[in-house]
Amino acid sequence: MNILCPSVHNSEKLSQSVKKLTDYDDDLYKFYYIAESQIAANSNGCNVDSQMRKKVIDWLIQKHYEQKLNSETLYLSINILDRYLSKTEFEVTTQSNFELIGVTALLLASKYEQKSAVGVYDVEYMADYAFTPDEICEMEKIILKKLNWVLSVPTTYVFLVRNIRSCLLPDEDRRIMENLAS
Amino acid sequence: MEEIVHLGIPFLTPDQWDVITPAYKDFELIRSEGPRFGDMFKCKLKSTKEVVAMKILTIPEDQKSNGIPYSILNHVSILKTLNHPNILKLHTVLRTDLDVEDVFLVFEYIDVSLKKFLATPFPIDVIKLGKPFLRQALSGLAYLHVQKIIHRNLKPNNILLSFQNHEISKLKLTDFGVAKSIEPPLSPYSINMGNPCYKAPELLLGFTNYSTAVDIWSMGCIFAEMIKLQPLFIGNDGPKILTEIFCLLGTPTEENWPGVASLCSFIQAFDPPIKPKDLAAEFPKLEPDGLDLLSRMLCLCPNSRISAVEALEHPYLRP
Repeated sequence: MNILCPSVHNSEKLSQSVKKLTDYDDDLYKFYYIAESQIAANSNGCNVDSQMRKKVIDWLIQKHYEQKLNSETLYLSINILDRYLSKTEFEVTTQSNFELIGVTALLLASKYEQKSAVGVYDVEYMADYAFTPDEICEMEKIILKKLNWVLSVPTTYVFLVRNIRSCLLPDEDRRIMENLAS
Repeated sequence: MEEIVHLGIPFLTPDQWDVITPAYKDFELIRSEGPRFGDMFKCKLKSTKEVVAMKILTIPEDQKSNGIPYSILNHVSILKTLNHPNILKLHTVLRTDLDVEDVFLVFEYIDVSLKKFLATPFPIDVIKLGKPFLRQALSGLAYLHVQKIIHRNLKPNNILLSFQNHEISKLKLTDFGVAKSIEPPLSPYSINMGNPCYKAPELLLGFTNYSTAVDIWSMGCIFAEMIKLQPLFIGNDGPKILTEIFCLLGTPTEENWPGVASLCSFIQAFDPPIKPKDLAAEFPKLEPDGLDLLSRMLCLCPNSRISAVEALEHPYLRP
């Protein structure tokens, strides 16, 4: 717990002007920590081909970069993908099915995280028209049902941001760190 | 205290009837908030006879091609993570058939909203019930704020109460339609939601970097409304409400709200600045501790406004 959440009191001192924004910080991260442990993806589901997962995530990162989406979106979409996989009863056998789940997770994450979200048609384009909009919408419903509609989860990103912030780096270095980390 | 306004049978499409009639019966509309937010109606679960409240979120026609819109994702996802005695509990989300595009939310059922209570000829005895009311409402808010969720639309309509022996037995915050879960690198948020009467001054002045303090302001307005039996600030638009706020609490200065003058030119229109009124004269019924808490909740500067956790520790609310 302490390793995960080093105290941020120093950084709070630095930013007295935004004091209110960090009022609940410690409590918030305690809550994140508990929530994350409850919601984390696990290996209870069917077998997941780790090579295939790796390929799809690489592919998602590339698409994510091309579309210039927020980093939160990427973290959340991988979180959705993993949580879906750990709940599904059937093994995902083909690369194309895996990709469908991946892009749909990206669609959901961008809708949830971003102001100007990507639409179904953008996702269709990202996947080189391998899937029809209907297939994507259908997948979206299936994923939501499996995840029980829970999308507001603490992803790796929130912990990352805090750990970087508590390093008390100047703004310039911090930006480099954030880029490196993502 | 059964005083529900009977609005009749809710209007539902045949598809929607097909989804809910197998499991639910005895439909009765309880609150109507226009097509955007969906009507809420009560009904009975056929299997257990339990009374529940149901809300249907429809996907607008022009967004259907884009799957489930953000507003619904956000709304349901936030509701799903909440579990607190002072927040209306979401039992289930029905999405039975893939052909039916709507999302059916099933909540626990609480009879009356604070708004209806304020309108009855025998309103709440604030001197007696003010403390338990604030304690419950603020512990619900503290729970939300610790999770960095801002409600953004607190008003008497969205606070449900149930009474037992003339005491508040349950208080539930509801309607998370425009709630927002914020993450530590704060980014600008939309300022256009909610009823202007309960909006915090930083929202009315157009600050987009607001935080959990906006809910505390709304709660302060609601508490004041319970005492005065009419909304504390009345008006239809932002500038009118701001003027009312400044007439009561004085115009903000660089001392009590650092940086306000440089960020907003609106307040320079108040020349000479307005002096704050004495709250004790405005609320003669309220005891000094209560006045102090109210003035801290209605603090103009969001950074100095009391937080929900601090407010729960305030002498007025200490048991």
